[in-house]
Amino acid sequence: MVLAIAGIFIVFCSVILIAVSDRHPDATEGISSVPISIISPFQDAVTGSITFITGIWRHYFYLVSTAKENDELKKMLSQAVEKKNQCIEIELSNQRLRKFLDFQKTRMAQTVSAEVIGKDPSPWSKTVIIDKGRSDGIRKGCPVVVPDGITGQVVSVSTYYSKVLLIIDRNSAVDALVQRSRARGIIRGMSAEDCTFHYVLRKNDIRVGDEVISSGIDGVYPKGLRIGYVSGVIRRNSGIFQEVDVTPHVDFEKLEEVIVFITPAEYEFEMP
Amino acid sequence: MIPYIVYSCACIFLLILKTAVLSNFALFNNFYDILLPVVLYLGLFRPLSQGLPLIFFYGFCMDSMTGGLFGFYILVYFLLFIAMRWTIQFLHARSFLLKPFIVLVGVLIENLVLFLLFVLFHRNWVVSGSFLHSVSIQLFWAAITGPFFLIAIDYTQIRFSDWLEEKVSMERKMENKRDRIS
Repeated sequence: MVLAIAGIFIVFCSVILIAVSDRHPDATEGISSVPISIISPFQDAVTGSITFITGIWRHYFYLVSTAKENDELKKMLSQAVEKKNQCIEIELSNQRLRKFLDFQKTRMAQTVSAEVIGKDPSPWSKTVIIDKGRSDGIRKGCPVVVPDGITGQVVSVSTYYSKVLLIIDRNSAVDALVQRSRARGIIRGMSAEDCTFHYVLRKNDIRVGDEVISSGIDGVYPKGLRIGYVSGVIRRNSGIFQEVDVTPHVDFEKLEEVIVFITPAEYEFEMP
Repeated sequence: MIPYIVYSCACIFLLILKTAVLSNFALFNNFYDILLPVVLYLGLFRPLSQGLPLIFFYGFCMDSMTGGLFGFYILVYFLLFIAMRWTIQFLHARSFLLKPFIVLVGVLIENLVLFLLFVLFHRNWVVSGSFLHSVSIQLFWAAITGPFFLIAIDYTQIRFSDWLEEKVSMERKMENKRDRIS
């Protein structure tokens, strides 16, 4: 009888804990960072060993294809250098014009690059552990990106490691807009490879293939970062919103290195 | 104390295996919760006083490492532990009926609890194709690897118990010898 009451009490407490963590995810952040601090150094060592072994394989056994690849890369590099020169010119002219207009100057965000050392043990959540933490300036809520686009945001930080919630997770939300038509909505994860674009009005013009970027309104992600492309649109006869599927540009299965924005991009008025 | 340390180390080992090794292979993308067979084993074969603190520790570790609802794994592991204790009142723990299906049933219960929690906390949540796909793959893996997992844990536990008993008896003998000499 006592055991049954104790059992019911534990179940009740667990449900309360789940409810609290659902409404206030910050409440459990402190205690949940303890196991991360203990387990992550081992994850780091194992991932490092795997990377080292696969690195040997890539570097020494694929030498045959490397020469060919090298030629192609040289060609691409020369194109990139040309493009870079154009970009420098545009940047200089942009600066001149901003000065001319007495406009605000964009201060670039400070970033930290980190390595993914572990993935989520549950098939239902999409998070990764990175090898940078509080000591590197990372704070909760910092946006995480890769060159392909937005990856997610930091949800838990320990001294040397952090947990990143990917945008494909069910609990993730990113304020976004369609680059072509400027239609706004919220990108939510589905715990699969795709995301859904919520609260997009039916009147908005959205087509398959449209680029979706961050709007910057949520205060987490800087404006203009790539998220993905529209892969499906369903416009029903009733309702005020349309159903839009978005496929992220980032390949979350092959995520190895990420960039964390440790200070947001700030705008300040330049004094004349 | 030693069994607690060993099972805690096993928990950390399995978590690293799942998060840092298996996650590199696309084949194991929807592999079931790797701590589940150990939780079921603790419920079936280990005493209550040993199993209960360990399953709370396992649940706490899983909840901390995942990005889902905190407390979900503590609840699921506790429910599974209770279910296993209840089952062995009717069936023998080493029954041939249990081993092939127990992990499969465990995975099913875990997903059922998750489904109920989603319905409870997110009322607009609907069962998607990806959810069913993930559950079916988890069940497939559980059916194939589950029995072997349990056999491996059981074998390791028996060998470990034998080694521990042997060590304890050796120490006792040594102590007796020392007493006689003194």
